[in-house]
Amino acid sequence: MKGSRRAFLKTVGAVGASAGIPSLVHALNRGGANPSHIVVASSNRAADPDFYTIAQKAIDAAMSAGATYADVRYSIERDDRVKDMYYTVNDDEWFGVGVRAFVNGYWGFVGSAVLSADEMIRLGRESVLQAKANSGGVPSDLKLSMPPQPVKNGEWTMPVKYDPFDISKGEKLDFLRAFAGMVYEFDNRSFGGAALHFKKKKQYFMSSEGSSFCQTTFYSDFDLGLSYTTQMSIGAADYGMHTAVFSTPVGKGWEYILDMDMYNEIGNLVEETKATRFQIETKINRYDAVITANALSSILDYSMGAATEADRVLGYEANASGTSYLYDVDDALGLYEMGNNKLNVVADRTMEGGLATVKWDDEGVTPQPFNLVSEGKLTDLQTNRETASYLGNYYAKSGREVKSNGCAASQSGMFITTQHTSNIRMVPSSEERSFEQLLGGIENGIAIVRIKGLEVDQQQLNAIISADVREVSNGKMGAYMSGAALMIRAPEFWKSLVEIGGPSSARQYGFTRTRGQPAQSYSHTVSAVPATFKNIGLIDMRRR
Amino acid sequence: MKGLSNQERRRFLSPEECRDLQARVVSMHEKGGKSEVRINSAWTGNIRWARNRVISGGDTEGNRIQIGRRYQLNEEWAATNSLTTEALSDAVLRAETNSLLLSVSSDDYNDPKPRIYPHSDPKIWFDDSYNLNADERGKVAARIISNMKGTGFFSAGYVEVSAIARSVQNTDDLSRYYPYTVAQFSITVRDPKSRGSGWAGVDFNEWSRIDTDALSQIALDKCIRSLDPVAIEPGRYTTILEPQAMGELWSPIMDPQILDRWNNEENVGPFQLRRMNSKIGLRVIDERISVSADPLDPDCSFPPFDWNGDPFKKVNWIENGVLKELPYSRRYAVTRLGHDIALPNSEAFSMSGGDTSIEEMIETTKRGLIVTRFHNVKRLNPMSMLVSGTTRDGLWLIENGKITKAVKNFRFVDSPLFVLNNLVQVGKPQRIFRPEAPAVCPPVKSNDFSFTALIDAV
Repeated sequence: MKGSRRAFLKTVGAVGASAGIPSLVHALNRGGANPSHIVVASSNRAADPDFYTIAQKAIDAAMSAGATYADVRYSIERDDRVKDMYYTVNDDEWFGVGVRAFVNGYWGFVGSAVLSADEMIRLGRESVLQAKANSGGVPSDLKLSMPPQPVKNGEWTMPVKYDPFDISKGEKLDFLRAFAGMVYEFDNRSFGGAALHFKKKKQYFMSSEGSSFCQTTFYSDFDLGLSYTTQMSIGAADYGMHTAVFSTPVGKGWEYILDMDMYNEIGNLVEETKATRFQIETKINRYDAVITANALSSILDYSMGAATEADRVLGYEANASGTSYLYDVDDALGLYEMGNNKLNVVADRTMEGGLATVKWDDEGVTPQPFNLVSEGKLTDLQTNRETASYLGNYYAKSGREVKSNGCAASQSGMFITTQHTSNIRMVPSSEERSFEQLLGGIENGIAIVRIKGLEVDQQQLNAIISADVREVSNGKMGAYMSGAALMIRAPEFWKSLVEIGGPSSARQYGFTRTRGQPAQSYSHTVSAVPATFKNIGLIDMRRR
Repeated sequence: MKGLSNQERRRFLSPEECRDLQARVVSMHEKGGKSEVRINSAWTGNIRWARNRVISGGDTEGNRIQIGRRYQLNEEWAATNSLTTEALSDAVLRAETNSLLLSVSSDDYNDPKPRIYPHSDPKIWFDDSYNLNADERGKVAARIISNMKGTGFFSAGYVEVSAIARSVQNTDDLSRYYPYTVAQFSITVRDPKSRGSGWAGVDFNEWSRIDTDALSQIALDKCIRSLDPVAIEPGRYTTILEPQAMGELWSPIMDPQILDRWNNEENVGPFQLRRMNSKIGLRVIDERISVSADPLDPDCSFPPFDWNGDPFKKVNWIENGVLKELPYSRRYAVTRLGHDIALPNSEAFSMSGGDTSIEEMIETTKRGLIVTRFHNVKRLNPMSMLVSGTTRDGLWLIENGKITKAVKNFRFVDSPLFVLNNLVQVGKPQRIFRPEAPAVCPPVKSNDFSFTALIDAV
């Protein structure tokens, strides 16, 4: 390896200071049309003190029209994407206000992009008309579970050191250009592509139960890909290009980019990409496997994250993003074996750096971490105030009160509040155990390094996973297998868990899931550890 | 404008409002240059139910305003959904800043002032879709739910209607506005213990063309007939694909990256013959099949221009199995073809069919499978167009000309091009459920469809 981390930082500094970029950049950075100035102006544009005053008009209009509960959300979103190679950018700003009313056990919703007192009154009234129309004249016995402790004028901002929207577009571009230069320094044959993506969402909330608060959340992502043309290009799943991708979005600010050990990451990625150039045929068999935290996070995401969403279990998503292999609340809770007794999974919307981390959810509930899976058994589901009410029998048996686990969320004020996946954490083993130690325990098997594609059925049960798979013999990783894929069934997979990595082997990975009708997206983080499994079936994806 | 009374509160932007918006954006230019404003202005009403109870429903109004600013050769975009002067001038400034920041790429194509060609006038606005308000949607849901309640099954369904205005305007005198409506309906009927599942759905511009009762009956019937499926061996089967399944299999071909003349000539694609040559003029699928798109087709109509303002015309992508055209940009036309008319890809498609009924297909099958639809069809390889996905909501075994049993779902790996080359029989095309772009597709029977693994999800 040539160069050093210091050299990289120097390169960044040098490019920022003088050569290589149009002088225009500096003019922009110094003043005049400073992009960061624009952003600050726009994100502070919503008149903070005014919002609750006019939101109250929507609540009053809904309550006097017959609602038993109503809430208002107003969101301001910024979305900024800078992409290397073609240097394209996205730069969007979205506003959304939505009023939700609950009448006789039915919801009604109205969304708009206009924030004004008159519009609030219209939205309040219409949300009730919607709810009444939705009842179709048939009453429903649906009750919302326990109201949360009201919070008045609450304010919370995801802890970030630097707001990415305070960093000028010029600085972001400088970073990417310097970065591209560094990749070439390592290996000029590898084709490097990189992108920065930032999102910021500020959302106000007010409910008829007396809650009012404002929260700001962030999403920061640095995406880097290196590719090589592989030896076996004909018929390969990705037409002969092997791509190593280093990417995960997190709930942090610009410091996520600054704190990255970029230099070592690139070195590793280049080495890894080089190693993928010469691949062997996939040897179809069942193996002992060691799976990296990265690869395991994707499996956790659907088999634990999506499958334990109460609304999926209940069938709310049957005609949309799919149901769950858990299909009966009372049969499953406290009984269903999600894996063997080594498996413990926690849902946690307080996770540091988590994309779904909030202080209050979109119904004003303060989320607390809770066990989804304890020693292999399903112990709870992700709920909101509506879906929690279906868990009454189970909670009564275990002497717990029926209340939401705080999983209510929405893409923006333009979409009705629904459930979205919480941050999910696989509990590490109590003793320290690294990936290398786990690898060392495998005499003859495979290492699943990275997932390239994952397809799961509508019940989150069976997945086919194309992956970077390497041979392992005597605790050492060997050649990559071309076209290798795993075919797994969630409960059986988690029952074949052998050993789990320790606390310091845990890593976080960001995911975005789209669900609901109209479809809306929300991001969350999965914290995973490397682990070993026995009896993992490997197939060749390229065979028809 | 069509069918809109003047008294009613507008739920999306009028042509005048769009023109006004463009004028406001132009007035914000301090630095000259060109600009373009693309507006997607929409009202959407929906109702959604599950477990035989309405779980949500509402109305949303919103705009997506994309502002492009161009100095010299470099064009950049910023978007907002707010009509306030503050938000618009911010977006203009962001687009300007970005276009200045980004270095000019040397191969950028610059046209001093593009010629503007007229577009067709499809009938895609329907008052009945616009008038399907919350009360009407509530009645639809209530009727279906009450029919389902006695059956012992859970229904989950969705009705959505939208009125959308698509507008593209720029400082090169392009000024386009077209309003249209879309309506969709889909329903899943499931056994509460997950023993079986059935589905049906369709979308049209016109709400009254959707027969919700008939579709609900199909979903219920499929659920009942799919109960307690048995496992059979994966492998190659003679397979009948219902129109929905055929459409889902063909959709990856319509991907703008795949169905693209430049990509198939210079890069990689299923219709590449050799480097620099596409397969235009060669037979690529069975000669009984043609694939076309026409905004004026009353069964498969769509807005008459794309987001560049380029008109959509009737195009036969594949005629009697022979590849006739691949979409190309205006830039491609100017540099390679010597004219300046783009051939855009609407992603809509109408696949021709034949006379064989699904019943006849079943009767003439010794041993085979019949597929309702697929889940999550993903492309594995852009050359062979191998795709993978799973079957869902009804898969049955045919033995000696009769459907004999419901079978457990399969994962498949196959290519729409292989399927349409191994074609045995083809039936009457019909509109399928594809809200992203309309499609008409026939049922087909094909040999040797490759089911690779058993999937016991219901």
